[in-house]
Amino acid sequence: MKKLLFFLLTLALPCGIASAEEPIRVGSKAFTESVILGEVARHLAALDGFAVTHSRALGGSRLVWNALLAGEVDLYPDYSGTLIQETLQGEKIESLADLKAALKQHGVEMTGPLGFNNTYALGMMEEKAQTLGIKTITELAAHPALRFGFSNEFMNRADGWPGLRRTYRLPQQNVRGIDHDLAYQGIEAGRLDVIDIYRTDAEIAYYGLRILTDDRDHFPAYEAVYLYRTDLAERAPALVSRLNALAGALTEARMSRMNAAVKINGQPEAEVAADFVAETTGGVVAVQTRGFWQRLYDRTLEHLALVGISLFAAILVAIPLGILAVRKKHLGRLILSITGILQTVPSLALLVFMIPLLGIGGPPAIAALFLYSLLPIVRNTHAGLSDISPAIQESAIALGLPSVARLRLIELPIALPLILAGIKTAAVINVGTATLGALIGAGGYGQPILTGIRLDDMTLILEGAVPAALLALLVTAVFDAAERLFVSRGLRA
Amino acid sequence: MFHLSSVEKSFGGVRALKPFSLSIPAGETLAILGPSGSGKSTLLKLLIGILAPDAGHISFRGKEIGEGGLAEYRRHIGLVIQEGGLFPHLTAHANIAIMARHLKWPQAKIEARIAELCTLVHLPQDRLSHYLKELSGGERQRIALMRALMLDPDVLLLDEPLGALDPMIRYDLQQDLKSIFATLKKTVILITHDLAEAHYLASAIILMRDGGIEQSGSYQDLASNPATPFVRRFLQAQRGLALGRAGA
Ligand SMILES: Nc1ncnc2c1ncn2[C@@H]1O[C@H](COP(=O)(O)OP(=O)(O)OP(=O)(O)O)[C@@H](O)[C@H]1O
Ligand SMILES: [Mg+2]
Repeated sequence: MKKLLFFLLTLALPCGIASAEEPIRVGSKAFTESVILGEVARHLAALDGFAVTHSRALGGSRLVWNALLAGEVDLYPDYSGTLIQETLQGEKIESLADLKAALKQHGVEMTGPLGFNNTYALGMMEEKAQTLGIKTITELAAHPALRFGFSNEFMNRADGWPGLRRTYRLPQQNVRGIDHDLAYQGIEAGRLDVIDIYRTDAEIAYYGLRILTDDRDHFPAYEAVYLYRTDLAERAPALVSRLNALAGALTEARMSRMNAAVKINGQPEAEVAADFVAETTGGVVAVQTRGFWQRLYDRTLEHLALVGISLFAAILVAIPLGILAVRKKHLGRLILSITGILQTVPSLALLVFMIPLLGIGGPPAIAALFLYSLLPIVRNTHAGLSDISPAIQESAIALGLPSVARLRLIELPIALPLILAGIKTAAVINVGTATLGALIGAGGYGQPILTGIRLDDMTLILEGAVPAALLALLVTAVFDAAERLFVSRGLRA
Repeated sequence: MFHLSSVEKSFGGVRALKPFSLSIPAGETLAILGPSGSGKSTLLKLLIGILAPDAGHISFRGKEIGEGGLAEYRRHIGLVIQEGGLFPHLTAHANIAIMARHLKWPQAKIEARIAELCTLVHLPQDRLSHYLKELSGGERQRIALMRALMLDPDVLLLDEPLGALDPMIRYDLQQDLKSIFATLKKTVILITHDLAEAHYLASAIILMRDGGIEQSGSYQDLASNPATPFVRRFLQAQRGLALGRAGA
């Protein structure tokens, strides 16, 4: 039993990841341009020697905005149109000056516009547009059979599809939400006819898309800016003045080039951003691109921490719950159905539910994984204990063993094979589900998978998927070994 | 040793024991007979406190059982059930020693007691390192008996200890039980289906039916003076079987 406890403790070992000094935290949204601008801010901070981290590609506008308000991140790049039409919709904002004032109410400051307007637009493959003779969004109305594929955020934003449809009275029914980076592949493959694009997207030129004219001026201006928490001006005045000095320095052409460098040429964002920083400030930042093994090592630690901590906590909670479920039948049914229901919540939704409670990064991911791990362990503990024959239970009672000793000496050891199997199931599920943690900034093997999807880079996807699969196999092997080590020979077939 | 007064026990609608009164003197070897479902095991479980009576009182040496804690009380009682109820994850040795270990007996005392018990129940010492699945039915019952006797209890309760054994092994164990009972001079309550076994091993017999006592006394009392037609039928059924088996 002591050996077993020690084994479980070592599962939780890769968890000692905490830092002493509070670094400046940069955030970015889940698309390449945002990540590049995040990297630019990170480099600018590094120029003045600040400790700085970048939670890249955290998620959609709403999520990153909330992270800023909650102090989970100190700054991130955003767009004026998004802020006015979506984030602060309902507040009367007519100009950038209004916007600045409105943001102040939330304790947020805004830099001047960086110099490019990354407006939304609709795009079609040049050839198709020519065949149908479509140049403007108005002309789309005459072709109700066209298939639209819009980024999920665009589908739901006030200034996105709902507003656009109203402005232009568009009749199309075949409209689906799709990841922005996958939309380009869809339109190239001919499975989509019209997609939403950002003006600075590198793919516009690469795939030869025609941008349809917004002839009724539906889309507002989307001036790129940085948002930062008011307190950053005190914590890092040098950084704030550097950010403000960027105003007007970044043209649409320059931004498109940076996007292309990353998305088409496969240069790391850090490098592209460093080049830009050197150009505009003259300051040189050392981009230590982590080598493959270093990256793998870092992500493995992150992934193990996610899986290890959540699993360990789940074991500590689920086994007592399973015991309780056997002792108190009514409560037991309740426990089993609650943990069962938790299991049916889609993992992505569960992750996102955790954000208001725990912010972004590791803790919400660990909490979600913890909840997921409960059911297999509770269920197997319950089954293992209920399976023990009445003859054995009565013999144990008749011997005069008190109930705690019965549990420790008889019931748990006999139920151990099933309990271990439950923990193994939970661990394997966890290894897979933890890859989704990258969506909310928790890192791990999901990071390269997400980036790989964003950049349409299969090598990068494999860089996350293969270690995740190997880790699942390793976990299985470890638990099989644990079973041989801890389960009594008398119980094995 | 035991005194039961107006003890009752029902399970849901099923009445397992009618108001039941019985005194069992110390040192007696009592056999309980009766058809399936007549309440024999229920009676035994009440005596060891696995079940609590719905009404009535059970006393042990003049004190209500469980007064000083049931766990404490149970250490004065040894129980062996059909199939032994041995713990499959422990070796025979660990099964036998489990309570002594829990009570923190010194290792030497445990080994000495186990060696003594091996001699008593005729179990070769090398069987002790084996797990349940590696032991024969007869060995399992000898080990269950050793486990029940480990703390040298005052009372031995046996619920069909030989029920699942083949006739040869059963015969050997009947012989051994007889000499063990004679050696230990403990109070023994033995449940069995077999009248001949009851006659051979016990000095007093209780015949139960539908949760009540149909007749009690010595074998001779029952055989020569059956109290009811049911007792007569029960005896006939047992003799018929015995004759058939003898092939006479
Ligand atoms: N835990 C229980 N729940 C419900 N009914 C029970 C329970 N235990 C015993 N009974 C019922 O009580 C009655 C007496 O059962 P008991 O086990 O004492 O009989 P028995 O004389 O030992 O029978 P057998 O010779 O088959 O072992 C039976 O009708 C049985 O179905
Ligand atoms: Mg019975």
